[in-house]
Amino acid sequence: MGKKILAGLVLGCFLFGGVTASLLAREKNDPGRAKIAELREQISLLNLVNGLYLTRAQIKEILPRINAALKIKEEAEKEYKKVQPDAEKAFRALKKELEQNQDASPEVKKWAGSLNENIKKKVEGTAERMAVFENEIESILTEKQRYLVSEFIPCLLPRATTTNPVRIGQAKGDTAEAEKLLTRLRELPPDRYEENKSKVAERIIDKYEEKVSVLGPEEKEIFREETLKLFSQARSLPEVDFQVQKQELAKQITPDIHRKETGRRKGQLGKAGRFFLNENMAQILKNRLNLL
Amino acid sequence: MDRREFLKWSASALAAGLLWGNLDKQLLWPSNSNQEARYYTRLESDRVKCLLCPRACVISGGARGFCRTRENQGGALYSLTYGKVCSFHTDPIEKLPLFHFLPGAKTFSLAGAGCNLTCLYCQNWQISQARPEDVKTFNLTPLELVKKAAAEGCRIIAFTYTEPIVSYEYVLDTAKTARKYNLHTVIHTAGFINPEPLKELAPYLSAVNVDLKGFSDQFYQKVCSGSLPEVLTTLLVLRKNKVWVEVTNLVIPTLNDSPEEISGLCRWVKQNLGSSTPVHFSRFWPSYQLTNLPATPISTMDRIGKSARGEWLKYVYLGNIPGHQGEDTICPKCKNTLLSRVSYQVVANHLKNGACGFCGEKIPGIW
Repeated sequence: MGKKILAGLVLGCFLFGGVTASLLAREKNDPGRAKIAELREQISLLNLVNGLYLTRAQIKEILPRINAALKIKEEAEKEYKKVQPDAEKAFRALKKELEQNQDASPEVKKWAGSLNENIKKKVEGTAERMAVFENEIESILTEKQRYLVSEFIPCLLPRATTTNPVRIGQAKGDTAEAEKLLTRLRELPPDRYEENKSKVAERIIDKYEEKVSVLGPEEKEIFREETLKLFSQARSLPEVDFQVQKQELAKQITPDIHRKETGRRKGQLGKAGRFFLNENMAQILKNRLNLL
Repeated sequence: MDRREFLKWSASALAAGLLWGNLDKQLLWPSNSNQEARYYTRLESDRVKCLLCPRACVISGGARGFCRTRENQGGALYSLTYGKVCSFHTDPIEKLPLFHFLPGAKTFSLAGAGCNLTCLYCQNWQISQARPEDVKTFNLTPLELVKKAAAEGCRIIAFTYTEPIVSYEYVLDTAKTARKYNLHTVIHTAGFINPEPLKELAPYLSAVNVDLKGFSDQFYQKVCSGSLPEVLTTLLVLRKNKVWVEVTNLVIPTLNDSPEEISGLCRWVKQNLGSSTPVHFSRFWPSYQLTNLPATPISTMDRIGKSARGEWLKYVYLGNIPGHQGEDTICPKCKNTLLSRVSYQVVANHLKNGACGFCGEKIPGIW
């Protein structure tokens, strides 16, 4: 179990950042699942590359940086393998003691703790070294390309929208669905609205939890109240005002709007690093270079 | 108050009332009433001839013109879309597209039903090819509209999505009212309008994007039921009246994308409007009655951008390709990117007082 968590943690930080450790571990143990995940990542990166319109000169500058970063990653994996047996032993001992007692002995705690710290430092150190290349790649990209990378949400099939084609990945900020929902709510007679409003609010909460984050009971209650208030506001507005304001209102109940990228955290790569500094991107760019 | 004072007071109150009534006439008009058209002549037997667009429809009593929005009611021609708005949103000005006009500014964009062309690829055919009574409309007098736009924080009113020309009287009154309130009026039009009404409207327009749909009369007739020379005249009239003009050309595979047609268009723009006129080449996306055609290949768009930029024009844009460099404003002198856009969003602006922030080259436009 400890091995799984660690492998997930390391891989998670190195490769995907946002993907949960347990999912990765499961995929690692299941070759079919891993292959699908890999294909999904490759397609997603292709969508990004297709939307960036990188020039030949840019690719030529980017590729050596990816290769350098991959070398760092390779070295880090070797380092990790060196500490892995000790870490496994220490964590097993800690687990065993915790199963038998309320608390573990100070020696075991110290042993496991120092190895854990060691691994954490290695992971963070590796990410910081790779981040140098992330910064360099960002400086090779134009302002527009940096913006597109920061807005990109990995996707298999980018949403085709000709009316608001701002994004090259999933159409974050596309409020059309929520606008339609509010329009339908306005059209409901009072009795049917009263009957259905809670159900609709519940659906919106579910979507938020699915796409953004799980809410605690109090947060959920506040969210529900705010959503119902928004519904009432949408219903009470005169037709013209609703038409003008519906997009702003819809934004408040569109989960993708709330998916904020908080920038690079210490010990982790930012979006550009996560998207660019991996084998899949290296391969995609090598192929692209031959086509240009 | 004696009798004399009373009469004096009554007279001034009446005069003030009349004056107020005149100034705020739009507010008093019932917005759902039809407005008599400004450009038409009466013919025999209660027929009328519409003089608004080159189509010059002769309309019998009770019938409507080609645009479905002008009706002969008892020998007089009425606009059925006055004060009737079927679509409105707040948009960035880049959506029009106007790239050299107050970048990033918010517009109050609206449309009425109807159009005087029938483009087979229309993206808004549900409203452009509809009669006013067939779509849901909202009543807004010009004054109400201007106030609403101002309340929404919009400095610009944009008539777009459908053809504003068919709502001529409404556009004109709104533009006049907007001017009083220091708001700009801009339009996106196919430019299929007679010079006289255009000359009357032009002084109240701050900018116009003209859809130059192709550069052959055959294309206009076959795909749009229009004709090219009149649109070119519109561009000349606008230029003569000093309205800021940008041109859009939707590039449709096999129909109007030949190198000859594109180069003809660029050459005409350069010779007649000047090489600094922004020209937007937009990527076609299958829609309405042209779903049998593929989207314009990016390679075609690149080829067009390169040839137009290299040989004739200084400000060439490639639209409907989010992320493409063709959306950016490049300084013609130092070649630095001045305005970086992703579709309708300005993501970087290096203009300084209407000039290149790198080399100081003056960039034409309203900034």
